[in-house]
Amino acid sequence: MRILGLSFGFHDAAAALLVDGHVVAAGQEERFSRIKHDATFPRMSIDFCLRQAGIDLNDVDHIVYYENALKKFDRIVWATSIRQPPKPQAPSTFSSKLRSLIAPKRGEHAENIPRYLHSVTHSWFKWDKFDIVSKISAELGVPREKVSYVDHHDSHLAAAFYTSSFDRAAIVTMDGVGEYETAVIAVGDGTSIERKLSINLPHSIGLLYSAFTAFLGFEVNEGEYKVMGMAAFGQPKYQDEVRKLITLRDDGGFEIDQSCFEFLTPTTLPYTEEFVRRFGAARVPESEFATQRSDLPDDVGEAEADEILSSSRHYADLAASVQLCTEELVLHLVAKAASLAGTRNVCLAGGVALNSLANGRLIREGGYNLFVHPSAGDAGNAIGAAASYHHRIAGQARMKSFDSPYLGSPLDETDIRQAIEKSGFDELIECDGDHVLAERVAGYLADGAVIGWVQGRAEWGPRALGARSILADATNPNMKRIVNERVKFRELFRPFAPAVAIEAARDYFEFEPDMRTDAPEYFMLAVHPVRVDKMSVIPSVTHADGTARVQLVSALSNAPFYGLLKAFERRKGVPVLMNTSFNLRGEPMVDSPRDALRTFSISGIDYLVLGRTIVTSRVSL
Amino acid sequence: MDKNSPELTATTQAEVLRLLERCKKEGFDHAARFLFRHNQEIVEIGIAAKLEPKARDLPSPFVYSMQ
Repeated sequence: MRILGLSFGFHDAAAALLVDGHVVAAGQEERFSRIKHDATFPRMSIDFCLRQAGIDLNDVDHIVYYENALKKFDRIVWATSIRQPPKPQAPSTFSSKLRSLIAPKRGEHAENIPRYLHSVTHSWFKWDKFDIVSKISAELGVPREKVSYVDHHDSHLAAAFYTSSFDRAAIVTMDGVGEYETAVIAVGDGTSIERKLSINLPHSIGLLYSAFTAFLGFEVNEGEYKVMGMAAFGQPKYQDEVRKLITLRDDGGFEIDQSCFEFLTPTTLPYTEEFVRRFGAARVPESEFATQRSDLPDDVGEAEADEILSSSRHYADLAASVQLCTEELVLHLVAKAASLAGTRNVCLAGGVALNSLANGRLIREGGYNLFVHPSAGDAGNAIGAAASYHHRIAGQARMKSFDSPYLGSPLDETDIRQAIEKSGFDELIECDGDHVLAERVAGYLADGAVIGWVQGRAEWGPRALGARSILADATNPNMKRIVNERVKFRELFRPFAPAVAIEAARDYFEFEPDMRTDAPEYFMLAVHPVRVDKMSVIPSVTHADGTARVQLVSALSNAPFYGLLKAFERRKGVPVLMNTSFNLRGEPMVDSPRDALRTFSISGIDYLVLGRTIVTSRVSL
Repeated sequence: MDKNSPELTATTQAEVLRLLERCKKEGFDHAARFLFRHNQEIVEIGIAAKLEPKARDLPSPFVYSMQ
């Protein structure tokens, strides 16, 4: 059975193709359109999935959308009515008597529609969101009967559990909001998922974190990981203040004090004046952030530096506080879920599951066997929707567990040749075999070069895992600044993650590596402490609080990348490399050789590796 | 097509009616009430939206898109 899952219309559009219970391809539209968080109909992702499987739309048995659009609209109307109570309304029965009483006469309006709801309604008509089945049917030219939808958190639950290797597990989904739900606790067993608890808007961990993200001057749905990074520079001085906003319930649920937030009908900012009264003025977006003088640009004077350092400490303390409280909330939800399921196996999805600090604590302190869907946000719901239909509607056998995040575009030799030819780069080195390539690139890295590394199929999810990565020497103490400043053009405080050969992981980091190749560390989704004696060995990937978002690499998980780590170890004695996504600030990760060459040409990357071809930074004029 | 096109008006009216029926059938009472009480204004919004060029109106980058 061939099922196409789709996610689009809000943020992070994506498509995924499930063939007989096996995910054969999954792609996020932004990688093809080159528009970050592209939400439009994922036509290019669909084309890619079909091409990858060698089929066309006629061969697809069913198409599933990732949420219930009309239920979401119902929630938006409800939320608006909470904020702006309407005049007395007719009950839902709509008797003819009531109909005549409240129906507007021709040419007049019963009452004004609140501005927020007016704007949403307008947008939904404009983008055909009300009747999603008709939209998909029309866009793809397929019969309506071939198209259906599942609820938003059902997609998350399916993405979390069915793609895991667990027969039975607790499942926790957490995000901003789906239709009404913001978090769900469920138990997965074989092909069934049984919901145990739902938390609805306005109580939302995702929105709580987003509100602080906006307050700290970062874009929502984009800057949350910057808050995580910022947290390391602070102390959780405001943890009591933030905790006051959260009530943990005995049943595993929680409530968020709404006095500080605008979660129901947000238009400009998601926090209130009361929030500002408690936590001070918001950080100005794009303003400098540094907690030590050496992290500031050289042209900043002493007085300005003092001011930046002082305000930065305040914001870092706030970031540390909301991060700590978020971790407590996640631990609370997962503890209840595990207790209900009677197992330490736990599956997570939803955007909050990308909180790698919380995931690290779940593993180390909770002792859970964790699976986090690598594309835990809404893009991942393309797989989730297809998986939900496969099991719960089509009644098929349990799908194949998810052992590889490399589900995206393959690297095609012809594309490489054509892209290089058009680019003007003419100094090429062809390597005869992976071993030769690894040895040569390891030599460049050891000499201080920054490498653009493009190998095999692209990653599924937001993390670069050695398929579309920028790599550098983790032992070089200057490398963090070099890559932030000269290569990715981003904030100097931003940390970088290490990739480590599996057998050396416990020598460098304080956690017990899981042998499951779908453990979060293979997808770079958990933060662990760097061993004290190794912090000075790998300074460019050791964050301010002595932690790192580790990626485990084995010969099984990614052979060329593992070979490179081992070759680097032979040069420098350290099987650890700095690994960051191959993109520039504000851009999606590169996908094709052409994308990679473009980014290479405008950044400070020294060598670009496309398969077994090395491109140097010289261009013929 | 312009905003006074009888065809566009009829199509949009029919669409709103279908939505209303679906909301009632599926128990989405809030949406159903809204579509019922503001029927004519919603049709007008729908017509205006359908005639608008499809350039995406980006929400504030500092607000979670809940739409």
